[in-house]
Amino acid sequence: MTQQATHNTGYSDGAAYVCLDFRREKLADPKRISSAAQEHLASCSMCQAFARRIDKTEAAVAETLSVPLPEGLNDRILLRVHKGRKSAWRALALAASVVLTVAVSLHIGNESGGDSAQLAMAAAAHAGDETAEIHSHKSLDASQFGLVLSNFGGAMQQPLGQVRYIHFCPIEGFGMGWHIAYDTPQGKVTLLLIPGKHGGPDTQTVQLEGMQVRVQRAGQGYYAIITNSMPSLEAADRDLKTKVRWSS
Amino acid sequence: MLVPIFSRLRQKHFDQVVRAYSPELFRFAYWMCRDRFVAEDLVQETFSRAWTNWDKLRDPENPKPWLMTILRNEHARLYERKQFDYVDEAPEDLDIAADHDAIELYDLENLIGSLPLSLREPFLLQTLGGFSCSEIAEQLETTEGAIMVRLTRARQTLRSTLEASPANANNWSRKSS
Repeated sequence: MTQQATHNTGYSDGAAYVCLDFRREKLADPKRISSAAQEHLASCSMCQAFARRIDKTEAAVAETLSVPLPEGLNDRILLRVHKGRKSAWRALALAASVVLTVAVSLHIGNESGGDSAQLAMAAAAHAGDETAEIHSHKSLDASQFGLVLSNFGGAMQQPLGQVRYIHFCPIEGFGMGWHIAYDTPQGKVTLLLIPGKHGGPDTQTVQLEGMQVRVQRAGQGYYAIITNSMPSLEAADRDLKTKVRWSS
Repeated sequence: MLVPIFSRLRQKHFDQVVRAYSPELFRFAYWMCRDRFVAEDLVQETFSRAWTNWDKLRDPENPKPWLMTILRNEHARLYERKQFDYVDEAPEDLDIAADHDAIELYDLENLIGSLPLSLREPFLLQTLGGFSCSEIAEQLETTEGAIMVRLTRARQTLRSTLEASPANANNWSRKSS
């Protein structure tokens, strides 16, 4: 048993209060520790150092969590509640979903796409919000693209393009996924890496409101490529197949 | 005559609650969904439902737990199709170590965002909402012990990753200084 674990003070009921008890309490709720924990802390330098480290982390967490609030948030809430006006975002999202549904039905026809067709729609909707997303999120460093791909089950053999944005974000209806934007000689490419076991065919290509979307089963789930033209989609997909070695 | 007065007082109270709690609710929503637009919509929807059901507010002096519950339900409704397939696991079943390689890529922001929902939700309720373990347990309909385990694991995950990565450790130190 270590010195750290045996250093103790007394509980009021006589049981020993050891460093492990203190750490358990401090990690579970750093701001509300019991009187026994406070008593132990006063006499244990190791736990004092531990507490300082936890408090430092908590301060950093609090600062990180304190994201800026949207300007006019309260006004929009009250307007919506008292005047019944929904946000422009919701109205646009609803309109977009209707358009996308019609477009998908036209281009997919009778083909049974399963989840991959829905994934294509979700990917297109996500890519449609890319400009706003890039403005509101901090991107991971471009040099991490290879590691992101590697974690998804793809080993990058050659660069795919000039990476502008990497972020781990929610893909509506499909959980969390990686969102990568990069430039190629053929044009801008949005790549989504969506982990998980989804149904449907291995490949699905659809046109949605001027966007070309291809969903391909690879690595830990599916990747989705979104481009503005079919030649750039084909080129991006070719690059992903030849410049990346997929684990499955 | 009494009805309009009562109605005005009711609206005044509600408007005060909106102003008092919208920041916490927005930040909680943002860290649940990681999207500012979706977060604002969730908060608007939460207050809209709260206003519709204002008579059901049991504790007018402390509406935060009630509002948080509505918000959590709205978030669950938004992502109910897929998200909970893999994030709503019991803490005992979570394989945190398996995520470490990926997590090491993130800064603190992404670290928090990448916590599984079963860890992130109680962690946000405590750090943003200021709720105690027992209050969180009540909201999430589980035991206080289970919440303590989840909070401990959330902090252990953050600490171990921050300490494992020199780049992240530097960034973290700079932010906290």
